[in-house]
Amino acid sequence: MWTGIVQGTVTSTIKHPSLTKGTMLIVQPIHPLTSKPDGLAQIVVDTLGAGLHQRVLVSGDGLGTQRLLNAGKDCPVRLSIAAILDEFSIQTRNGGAV
Amino acid sequence: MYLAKVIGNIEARIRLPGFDAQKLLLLQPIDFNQQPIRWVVIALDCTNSAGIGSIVTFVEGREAANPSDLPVDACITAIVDSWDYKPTNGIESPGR
Repeated sequence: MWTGIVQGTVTSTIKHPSLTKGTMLIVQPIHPLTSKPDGLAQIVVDTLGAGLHQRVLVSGDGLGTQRLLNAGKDCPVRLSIAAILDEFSIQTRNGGAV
Repeated sequence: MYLAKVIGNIEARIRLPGFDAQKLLLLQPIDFNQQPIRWVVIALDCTNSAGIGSIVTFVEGREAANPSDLPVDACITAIVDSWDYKPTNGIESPGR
């Protein structure tokens, strides 16, 4: 799982049926401690209603996403939003130093 | 999932039986400013609607094989109508 920031939406008419049950958001991965960009922006399926520039927790569990979307075994989606991090806290030792 | 532009297709005479029904397309992944990222990907078209020039979304990994049950690791999941990209101040995708 990773944290990211919602930076937009993608709309599509012709799509796999499993994608009709959520919205497709553009999510930029960010480092949970430094908030710096951490990889390429990706498209993530959202069922929670995350808004623009909100911080979210993304899960890469394809089977979990399939269940979340009430889709069949043919569901070709991997990433989904597991939480909206509007209020959250992270505890580390030494500021996350290894 | 990433965005990609369809830049070609691949046909093979000798192939696994399941590949008869669906097309294999050559994708150039792009970022949300339409700049190319990564390297070219070959993906199965699960929508059966993409053609050269289409902008699509594609998924990689085990989930890509779910719709077809064929040994593929990338598949097109949607034909994109439009997208709305508003990068947060100071936080933008690093591109390539």
